[in-house]
Amino acid sequence: MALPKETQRLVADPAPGISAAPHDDNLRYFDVSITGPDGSPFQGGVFRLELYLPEEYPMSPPKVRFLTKIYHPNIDKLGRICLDILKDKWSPALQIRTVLLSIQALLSAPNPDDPLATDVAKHYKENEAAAKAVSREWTEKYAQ
Amino acid sequence: MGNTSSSSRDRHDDSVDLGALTPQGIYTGPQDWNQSVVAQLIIDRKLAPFYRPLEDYEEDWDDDRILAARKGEPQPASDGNTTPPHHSSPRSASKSSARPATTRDRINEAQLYYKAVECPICFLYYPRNINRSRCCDQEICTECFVQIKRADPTPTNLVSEPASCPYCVEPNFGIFYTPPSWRVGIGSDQAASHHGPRPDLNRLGSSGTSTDVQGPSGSQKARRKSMSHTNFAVVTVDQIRPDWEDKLNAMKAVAARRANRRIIMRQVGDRLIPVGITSGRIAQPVDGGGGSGEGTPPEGGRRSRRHRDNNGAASEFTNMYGIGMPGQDLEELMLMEAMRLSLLEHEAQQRRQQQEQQGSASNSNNAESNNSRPPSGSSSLPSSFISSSSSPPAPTLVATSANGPPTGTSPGNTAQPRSLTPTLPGGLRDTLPPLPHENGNTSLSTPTTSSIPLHSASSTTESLDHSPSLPRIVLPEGNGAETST
Repeated sequence: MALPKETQRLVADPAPGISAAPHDDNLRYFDVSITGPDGSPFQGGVFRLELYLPEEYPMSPPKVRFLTKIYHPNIDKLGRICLDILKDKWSPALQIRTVLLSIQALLSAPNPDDPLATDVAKHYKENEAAAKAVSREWTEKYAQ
Repeated sequence: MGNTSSSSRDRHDDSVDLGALTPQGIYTGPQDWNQSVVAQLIIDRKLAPFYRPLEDYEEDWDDDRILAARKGEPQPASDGNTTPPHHSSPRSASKSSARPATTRDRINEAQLYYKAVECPICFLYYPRNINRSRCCDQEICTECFVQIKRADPTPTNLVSEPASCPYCVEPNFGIFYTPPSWRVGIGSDQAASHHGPRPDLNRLGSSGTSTDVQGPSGSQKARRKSMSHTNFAVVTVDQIRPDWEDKLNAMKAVAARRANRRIIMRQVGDRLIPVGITSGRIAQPVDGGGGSGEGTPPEGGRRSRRHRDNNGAASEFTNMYGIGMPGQDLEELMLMEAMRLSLLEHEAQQRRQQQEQQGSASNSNNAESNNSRPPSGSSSLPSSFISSSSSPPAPTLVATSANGPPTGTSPGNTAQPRSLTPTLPGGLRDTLPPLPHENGNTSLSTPTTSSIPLHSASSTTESLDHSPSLPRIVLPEGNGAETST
């Protein structure tokens, strides 16, 4: 299985602003943290996620979820993430690292036109400034 | 495999160019490709053999180090193909007549891995003669290649998109393989005369000059143009899973069956009582028969199953009334159960009514006239439904399911009885460890629960996968909103 090797590299050479560490007792289960990208309303926050590699990985995508509350149109209140590469656009050539980088990019570029949290998306579309203020507020409140 | 030469009991008898015909156990899932097709492609040298990969590789490693880095052999060691414990094999002086051969072979096998190439998907290292994607010329080992397949169709998603390249997402993924310039193992006998007694593995690769070894693997030749998936030298994902079309047709048949399903109702008083369901299979024999005819070489098992299905169409009539239903859809079983409950409830209700009537009758003076309808009459009524339809006292109605035409798989059925929805497959959830953090009761594996719409189309189909188009029926129990009053 490719797992240990990919994990080794992930741990040895982490991407900026991203860390992922496997559980000792379950190497398929990762504790992840992503720092909010500069210039986004999530700047200064550290968001915790969990990542699980299913048995079929890398032929099926990893399962990722935010544990830290976040006000984002593509992330719902259960932390589930709307991201195409985590679903039908998954490719076995993608990796944990690329997935986490994509999630980080999603924080920089919310996409309210393809929402998961419909109320947040509505907010973002109707009054982006106010919505971003809430995102900042949540970042300070939950992600510090 | 079949064409081993009888003369040489060589350890390469069941291998091709020092690689195996069967996987090396990198993936643990089911081997759902057609293994005989894959083996033949390897023998024909259109697909790289299943080489034992190296867990790691550095260019300055010596031979011993390389051999030590090889991944362990697959667990169900069918018969030690291609690999170390070869001291035991009765090696006559078949090929390398002069030498004791063992160390020499080891060295050769190590040479196989000089300038090893990493497969970008499994991160393991393989001999340089690795498959390359037909479209973007990227390496992919055979182990990973056979894992790539079309997504299986579902009743709500009746298409089978060709698998895309994992690297460049070009549809119709396929690979192109350049075999080494030497040959050993199966099929090498014919070609053996052209080469020396032992292959010179330094000449691995197509052009065959020793300068190959110097350059990085990708740069030994100009980047190949992409090749069409119809090119005869290209091996596509569909080629090794020739049953994809059968699967699609089977799923289409299932969907058509469900759409055609009818619920047989019987009118009792002012109520409609469901007494059975028909199977849409009756209406589909032509479609099913045509499906098995097309499609590339079907495996025997699949075809015979199809035939059984067709023959079984006649016996569907017996199944209609719920007798002798081995292999019935779970869904149909649940439907029958719902009907049974409905009947029971109806029975009870009738009894209650009768008791009420009796109660009021005993109070009134008209007790005699009510006696013409004894309570025992009510209980005999439903039992006749269950047994058979012989001489029905009441008219039998047939209601089309799903409120729609046979093609109507329209999932707009908001009124699906909850009790009929099959439970979600719990496999992933079971493997999940308990979540240590907040929201501990929501697991990663349930991202598509019904309440929250995920992004657009794909997620809709995902969530509907679990609730196939059930016929809409009226369930008096457990579904108060649905009860007809």
